Amino acid sequence: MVKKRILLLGGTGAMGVYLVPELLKQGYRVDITTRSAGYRSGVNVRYIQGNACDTDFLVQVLASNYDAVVDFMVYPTTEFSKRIDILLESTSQYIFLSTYRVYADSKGPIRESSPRLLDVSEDKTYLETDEYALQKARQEDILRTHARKNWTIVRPSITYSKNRFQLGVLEAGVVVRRSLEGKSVVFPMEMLEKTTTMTWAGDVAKMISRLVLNDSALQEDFNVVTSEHHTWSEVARYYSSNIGLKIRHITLERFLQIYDNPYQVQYDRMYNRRMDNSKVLAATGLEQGDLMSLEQGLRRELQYFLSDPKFSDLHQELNNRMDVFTDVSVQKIRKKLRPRSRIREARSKIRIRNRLKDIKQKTRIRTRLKVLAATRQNAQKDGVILTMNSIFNYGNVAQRYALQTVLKEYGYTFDNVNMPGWYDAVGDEIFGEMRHFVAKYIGGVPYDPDMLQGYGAYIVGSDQVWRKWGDVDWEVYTRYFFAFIKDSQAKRISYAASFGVDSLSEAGIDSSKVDELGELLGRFTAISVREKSGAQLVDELMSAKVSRSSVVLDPTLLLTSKNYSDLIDESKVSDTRTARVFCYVIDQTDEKKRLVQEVAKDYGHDFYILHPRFDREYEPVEWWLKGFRDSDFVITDSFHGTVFAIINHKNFVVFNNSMRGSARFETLLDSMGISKSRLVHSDVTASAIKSMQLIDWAEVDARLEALRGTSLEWLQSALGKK
Amino acid sequence: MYTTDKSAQIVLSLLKQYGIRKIVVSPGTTNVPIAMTVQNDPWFEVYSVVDERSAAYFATGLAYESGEPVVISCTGATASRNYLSGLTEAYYRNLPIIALTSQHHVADRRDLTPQVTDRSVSQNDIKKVSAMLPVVKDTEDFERCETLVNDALIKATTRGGGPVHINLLVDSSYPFTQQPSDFIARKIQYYDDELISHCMKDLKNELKDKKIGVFIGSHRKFTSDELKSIEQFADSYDVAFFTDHTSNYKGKNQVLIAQIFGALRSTNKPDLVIDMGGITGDYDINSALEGIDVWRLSEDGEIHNRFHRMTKLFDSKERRFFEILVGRKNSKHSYFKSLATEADRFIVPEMPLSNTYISGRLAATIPANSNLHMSILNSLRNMNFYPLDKSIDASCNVGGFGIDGPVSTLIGQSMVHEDKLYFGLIGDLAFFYDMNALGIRHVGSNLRMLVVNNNQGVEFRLNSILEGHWGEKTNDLIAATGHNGSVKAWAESVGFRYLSADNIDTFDQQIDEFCSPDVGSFDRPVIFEVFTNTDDEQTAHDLIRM
Repeated sequence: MVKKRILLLGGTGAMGVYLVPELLKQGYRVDITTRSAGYRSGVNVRYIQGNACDTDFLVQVLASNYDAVVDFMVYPTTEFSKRIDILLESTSQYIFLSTYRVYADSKGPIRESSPRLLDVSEDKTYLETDEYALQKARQEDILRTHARKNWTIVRPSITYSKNRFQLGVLEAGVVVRRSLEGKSVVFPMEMLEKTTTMTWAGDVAKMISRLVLNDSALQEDFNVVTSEHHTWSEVARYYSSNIGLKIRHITLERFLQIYDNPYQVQYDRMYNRRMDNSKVLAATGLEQGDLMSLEQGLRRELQYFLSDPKFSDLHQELNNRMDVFTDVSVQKIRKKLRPRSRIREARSKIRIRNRLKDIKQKTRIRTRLKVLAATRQNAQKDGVILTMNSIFNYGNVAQRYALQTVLKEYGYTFDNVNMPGWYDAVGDEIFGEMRHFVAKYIGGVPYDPDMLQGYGAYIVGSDQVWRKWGDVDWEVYTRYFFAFIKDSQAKRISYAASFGVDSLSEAGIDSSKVDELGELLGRFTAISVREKSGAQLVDELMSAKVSRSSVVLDPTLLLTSKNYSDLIDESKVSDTRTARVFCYVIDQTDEKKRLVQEVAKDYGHDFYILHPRFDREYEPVEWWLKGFRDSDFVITDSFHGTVFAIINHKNFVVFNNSMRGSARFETLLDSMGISKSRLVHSDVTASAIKSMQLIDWAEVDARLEALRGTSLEWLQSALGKK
Repeated sequence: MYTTDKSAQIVLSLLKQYGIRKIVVSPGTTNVPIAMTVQNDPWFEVYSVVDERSAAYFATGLAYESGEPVVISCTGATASRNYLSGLTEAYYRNLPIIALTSQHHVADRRDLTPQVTDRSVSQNDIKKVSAMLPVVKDTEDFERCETLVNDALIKATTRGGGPVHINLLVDSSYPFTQQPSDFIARKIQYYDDELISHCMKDLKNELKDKKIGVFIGSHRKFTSDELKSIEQFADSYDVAFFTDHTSNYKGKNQVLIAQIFGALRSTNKPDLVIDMGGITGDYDINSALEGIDVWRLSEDGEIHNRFHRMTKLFDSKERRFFEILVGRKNSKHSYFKSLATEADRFIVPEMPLSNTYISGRLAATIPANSNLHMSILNSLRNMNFYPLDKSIDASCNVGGFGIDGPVSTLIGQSMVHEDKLYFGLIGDLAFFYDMNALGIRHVGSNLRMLVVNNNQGVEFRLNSILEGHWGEKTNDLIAATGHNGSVKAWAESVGFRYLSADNIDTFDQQIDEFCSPDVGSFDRPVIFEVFTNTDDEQTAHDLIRM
């Protein structure tokens, strides 16, 4: 007997992981499309890599006429109508994944025939959107009115699985992550007593697998859900007993200030969602008693998840917003105590307060003395450099080294601030070599605004100091605009500061903050930036008509290859061997690896990929520099990787890295007169690289020499000649 | 001018790295790449001797007097025949002569190509090894070439030393460059006990702070002394042992390859692999350790470059090797612990009656202190997913990898300890191949054999490539479906107790009885035949690897 063949479009998610084995057990052969590589096919299970949203790919896959197709993809409605013909024509049963969210509010348990939001909602603004619940309902309608009748609609409820856990609108990346980190989860109190239906993905899979090639399922819709239901506060209790979830209650109004999809809250989670599943049970021969209870299911899946918890970064922003609530909330907690103990507590509080006052006064005097001493000492030097202390990034360390060295050569004495950060908690087993280098060549004073007063000059830069990364604190961000300096006479200079990107919004700067930053920039005595687009952004911030800043070279380019070569030769890595093809990548991908191997074919397969990771010790900075010097070909996705390829006259390509900022690559290549074809994308081939026009190094050197001259001159005039 | 012929470059690069300078060249065309390159390279000390017979003897003189290895290079035709007398002399006097012969790579003597002789066979007493280098066309050729040349140069200079033969196939377009090549082939550094002790400090430093995966192929039973030194080694560094049942490793920090890399597809790779033991039937290990440097520990001193990434070869007794490298006992075992946490995620799925299911039940039920023999390949592979009690000895004929003798081997094993139970997990293809062994008169009641009869070589239906191409069509000629019937009549006729099952319930009912720990619970040898089918075998095969 030939096995029937089932296709899952996008079936590696929460439901797919259970559906595949269920279908195998039923004796089917299963093909699954997935965007990611790395799934291993078996005898009767085959993973096809590709994006099922891509029509060409879909057509190609559907050409082998499956007996049934289960569609987990989410399409915009216009897109769906374009592909529905081919989906229905190619197979004898098309199973469409809709959602229980299509339903309007309902007093009793929701049946398949219950009214849908699309049909009964009076919220015109909402109806104009293609929000998930409406999108799925519209697509259901497209199916129902289609000439072909070989479809089945299934509507799962909230479905939890191996790596999906929900609480209200919150997902594992918030609920589980915060619980494991000992942080409270912010939750709207109005939602707590609403009823929800959470179904185990394994049960959904059992139901769907029994609807597959089931004649009674054609032209029908099914709620593939459990009839068990709970209030959110009960669900929260299950989480507390398994992972110690703590809830911080806030009002719904405030919750909506931090959560982005109000419709999901309003038109689903704030309803009481109880489901009737008699139709699907009848069609599949299952009984409610066969289904997993929520308490047991959550325990089982959490246990599995906790053995190796991995979170995506999708919820980082929401977590940051929650942090604001939970940090403040700690202080606000007031215990309700009985009167007598309250008096006792009040007395002890007064005692403590007095003692604290005493201590504070003493320390205040001590600190003031310390500050005065520091200020006096600082005045002896020429100034201090402030830049990011990205100890995990070779480029950052190299530019700090370069600027410090240049200043020293011109006779200035400058301190360097060691900005604190997460990396301080990482031990020497990872950053030992990096710290050693910084201590030896750059030095560092701690960041303490009080102790940093009194210098004659302050330099910010280089690196992407003016890019606001994610939700970095405003106070931390404005350090790089010298918000903390008290002395109005001190020179405030930026050297080759960078925004990394081409617009204020990409740089993370909110329009409401423009004036404040413009004001801070106005106090600068000299401004230089690394990119042309950066100069425009400075003007934009300062609302300046005439450009206020100059474009200068990254500090690393101020030194020559000989400077670096001497550095390497003095170090302990001087006789180690690197490779002919040196590859320095910050974001590692398979494409890049493959390309390196391809390119290395012409170089005796002699290649080395340096991809800094936080699970092993970093190689010395000199070794990194040596990698460029002693190579014949450089592949990189890093700005400073490109810089050192140029300094050492190495044939190279650089992967565009739009996420980390692409403006800097373009400015760099442009200013060196190197063709932009060197800036490549992941689809580049080795043969394309081979056929690239050779770089005219004489031309590059001439330009570099000229730019070096103007940059150094700019720096000297900004500081005043020594 | 310098050759760009890859195999010649590998030879020349490795000669330098082994410190070999002296080379005696005789005139010819096919050794032009060698002659031309060494002539321009100041590293080499080149002599020209026209007559090859004389050249070989000349080289023995050079080698004897200087104490250094000497290369002799000649072309095709009868040139190399004249090396024979000089090489014979070198062989019996252990003189390190590297005979580098060459010929045109397109040539074949059967095509009557001029100047081509058959060098695939030569006298045993003219060389320690003969390496026929391939033309390098891809990475595989390249790695093969590096291994062969390393092997020859190691053999020339160690274990007494002596002559070796390397045959080079030469591209007759003679590709050259004007620039000397800075190409460096991968040298496999050879260590004997003395050198290990000498370099102990450096080696220990290399092991320090690395995640070390010790891979153990099939292995004889470890002695308690061996195990002790291995465990002390494991306490000194961050070590995990990658094993299957044929590794026979019963010590600490053991990880089942099939679980961690087969079923769970872990990417938690070691930084360094120490490879020991023989052939393995656990294919998952190859992709799991791809791209990682390997130290090979060979008691026979041979290069066994199974992962193609060997950097060091240790010619040492295993126990000695680990003893020398033991360091201070301060391992946190963090690599092993991280793997063990991952392995906790391995859950035996619900599955139909199949070899996969049967193996799991047998592994859990088989009594302590018994022996288990598995047949090639499906039985071995399935059993490898499940841990076995440490008191159980497991084995499989992975040496020749044949299906033709598991029953005989198992019966032979069962002769040794009459008071111990000997279990077999044998597939039908293997059983019927070797069924006559049931008739051996010595068979005792300590033998219990579980035959999984799926009525074909289901192995070929578990191969996703074959399955994708032909599916059921594989049955006819590739999987030999329907050749054999049941074991029953034959087993009973030679006095075996016969049990059988064809569904999970009847199997579950009988497995406990079959595995009864009392050697006397059956008065005869037992065969338990379990019938499964292809569909269920395929389903179980997929489910356990999901």
